[in-house]
Amino acid sequence: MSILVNTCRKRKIVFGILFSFFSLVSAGEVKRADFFDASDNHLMFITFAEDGNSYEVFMSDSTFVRKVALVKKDGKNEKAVSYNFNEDTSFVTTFSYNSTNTEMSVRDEFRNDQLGGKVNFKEAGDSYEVSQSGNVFNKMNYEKNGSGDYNRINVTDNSGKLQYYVKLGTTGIARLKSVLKNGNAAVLHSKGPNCFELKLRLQESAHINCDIFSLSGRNVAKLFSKDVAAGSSREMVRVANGDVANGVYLLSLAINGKKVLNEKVLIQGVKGGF
Amino acid sequence: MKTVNKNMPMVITVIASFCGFTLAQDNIKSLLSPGVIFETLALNKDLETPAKPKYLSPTDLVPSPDKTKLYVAEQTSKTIAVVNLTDKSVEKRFQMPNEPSGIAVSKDGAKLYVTITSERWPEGYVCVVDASSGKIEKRIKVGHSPRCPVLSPNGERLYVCNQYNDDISVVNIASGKEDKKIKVVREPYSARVTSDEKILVVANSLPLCNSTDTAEAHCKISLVDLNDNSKTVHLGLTQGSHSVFGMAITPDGKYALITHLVAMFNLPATQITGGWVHTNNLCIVDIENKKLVNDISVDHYDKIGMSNPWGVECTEDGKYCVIAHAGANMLSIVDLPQMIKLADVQEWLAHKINLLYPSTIRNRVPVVGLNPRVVAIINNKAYTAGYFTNTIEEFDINLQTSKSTATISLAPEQTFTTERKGEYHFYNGDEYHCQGAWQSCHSCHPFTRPDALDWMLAAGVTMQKNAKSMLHCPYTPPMNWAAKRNDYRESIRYGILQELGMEPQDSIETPIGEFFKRLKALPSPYLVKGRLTENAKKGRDIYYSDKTDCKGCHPAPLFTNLQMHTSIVPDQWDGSPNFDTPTIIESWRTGPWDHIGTTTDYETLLKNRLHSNCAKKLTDDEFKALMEYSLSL
Repeated sequence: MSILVNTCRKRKIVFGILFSFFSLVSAGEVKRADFFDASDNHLMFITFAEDGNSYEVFMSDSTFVRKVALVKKDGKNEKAVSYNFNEDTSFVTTFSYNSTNTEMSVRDEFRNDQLGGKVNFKEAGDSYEVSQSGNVFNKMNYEKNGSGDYNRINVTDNSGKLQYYVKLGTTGIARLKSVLKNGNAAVLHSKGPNCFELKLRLQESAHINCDIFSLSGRNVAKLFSKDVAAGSSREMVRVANGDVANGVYLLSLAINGKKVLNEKVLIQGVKGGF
Repeated sequence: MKTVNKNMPMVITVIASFCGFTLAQDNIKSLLSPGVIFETLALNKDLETPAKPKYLSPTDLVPSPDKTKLYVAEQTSKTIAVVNLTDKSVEKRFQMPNEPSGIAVSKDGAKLYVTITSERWPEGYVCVVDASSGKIEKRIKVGHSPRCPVLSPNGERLYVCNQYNDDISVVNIASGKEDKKIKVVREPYSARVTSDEKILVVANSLPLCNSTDTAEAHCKISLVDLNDNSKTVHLGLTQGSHSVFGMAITPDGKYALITHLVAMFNLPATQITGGWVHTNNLCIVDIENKKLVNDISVDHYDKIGMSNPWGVECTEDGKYCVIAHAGANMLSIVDLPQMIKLADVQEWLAHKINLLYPSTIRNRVPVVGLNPRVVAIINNKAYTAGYFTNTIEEFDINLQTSKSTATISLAPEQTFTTERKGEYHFYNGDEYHCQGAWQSCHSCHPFTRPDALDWMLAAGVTMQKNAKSMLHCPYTPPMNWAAKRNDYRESIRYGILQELGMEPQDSIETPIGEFFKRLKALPSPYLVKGRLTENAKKGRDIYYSDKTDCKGCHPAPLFTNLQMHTSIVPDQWDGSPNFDTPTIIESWRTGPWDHIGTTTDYETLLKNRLHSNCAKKLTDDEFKALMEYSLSL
């Protein structure tokens, strides 16, 4: 019984951490999409790094992680520049998706089309009928979970037989992003060893505290504490020699004393300790 | 139990908040729009559309130990078909996560070991697959473009050829990990292990030498001593040998039979027949004594060739060996004891092209399937599958067989797109594609890349020049080193006319052009997980800096300025000292370098003062970084 009690206490702590983490992750952010074939073989995953009207797509089969596309959105249009291999030897393919007439065209500078021509998407609610030259070759539907949220995308052939499916996840290698409930936003980018860029968008001026906590919750370093004006701003956050020992920490950001960002960061190559 | 119940509300709250916070997504359809889904599936070659059908491309056939089934690696559809030989139908089909390049079956038939790779994801692995359910139980990381998995006789180790790492992975089956790597010569394509697991015979498919060292321009067979690597030997084949693909070991374990081509590159390619350009050969290696018994031509006689021998297998009783001629669309059923007796003589037989002419030694059987690359033998039946067709054909093994006895359909036949037609014409060397069925485009440009030899082409191209890669050729005019052809279409036309001896036809020329347009560079083995290393990134900065003049002649994205420049090695036989600037994309695999292939050393090439003055301005570290970047392209 005592073991059970201890286990449950540990769970409580874990759930507590999970709760605080997920409550800080923005609503509406998918960071990772895993592609599976009908036999449940994991084919690859893609992750996103979103930045305003564009996002980068990274693709991986668990061996390679490769930037495969830079997608730019312009109102109803979406244009993806795809890198077929890596950015140094790529011959780029341009995918254009027009969500008004649900049509996608594919071409690259060497006319090396991936899909073999123009593809049309006929939208009906959460489903798409995908056709080419008048032939329907795939159907696709976005599936919701019990809470009414999208969590899976099925790609079937014309007869309804499942070919591939996509599972949506919230953890990945994408940059961290947090859109806060009151309209404020905070984004943390890693800019190199022990160096982070903090992008802020504040509705009104506020006092900002940035601290480093150990994983056990101890405050081990105060990085800055200052007033920041309303609007967008950038702060470079550097962890200097002697601040902390090498290891994994939580970088915490508080707006007016309220913790809004609590991200795991790796600090390495610094001397000294605490 | 009470404690558990006490925590339940907490758990529910957490799950509810998790779902609520993470999946209430307004922008999900925007972020994962149909465009992104289909683009990703297309990039991974998973998507099949009416304009881009997914072809099967059977590339390996392996019988089950109980001889009732055949496992078929269907490369481009990323599947393994299980063919029931009793009712001659496809029993099951297993989906693989990527393209299967080879299969090995465990002794008890319970497991399949499938090498997985593709041009998108060449850093490959071995999938351990449950043979009855198709479930992938384990993935074992091996090297770049793995192929030809070979199980040790006791089933404890798996040997895998990493084609573009130039090495062999030795995988420990029990631990599911790669134990070590064994370096071989260049581009190992197939391997076999002896029954006592002392020797691993490896076919290196390309020569590794300067093309100008004509006496040394040949491939090597590695006889890897698995107990003592110092006793490993690399046997040189006949001068001009290349495209060493298929291998079998005779049932008595004495000999290895290895298929390959022999290029007559020292002769101007002014005629095709009589083996003037290529003979199609099979070498016989005495494994125990580590020596070549002989190298024999498997062509028919001086008028008819048997282009592109590929797969080879022996019957269990050692009476016959069966060779698949991928180019000629034929099978050779050869009396094995007679062939070995003929070969065991002092005379070197590589160019004696009527050796197997008598019908008492060899039976030539036409294959209906296009481009048969593999053979499997069960009892007295041979099975082969055309790479471009969706059928398996069964043949009785004897010297009287004239046609297949049964055909097994893997799937309904598919219409060829123009690109696929081009690929088929490129690999086909039958009598409709080459005078006398002596060779195909693939003979001089294996897999569309160079054969590492210098060739003296027919009219107008003067002295020997290194064979060129077809990669990006539609976008890098003019063609050939001396720029004698204006564009790729003209080059294809002249190739068909002069190197295949056929009348050029638009119905062949156009598809081959389309096939070339769609060729993609293979990611370099110098990349780590598909990315430039930190050192290569430094090299990239140097490449584009003013310290070097690389970008002047090799600017991105094609990495050639399409201009003529003075060569590193002036060629007195040419009218002009200037030669076409090659692209350096895939230069990691196109050695030996320069227009006559004078060097296999990349550093020497870059440091040659006639090529570039960059070495003088760079430190050693900077130079190494630059070299790494260049080899990573």
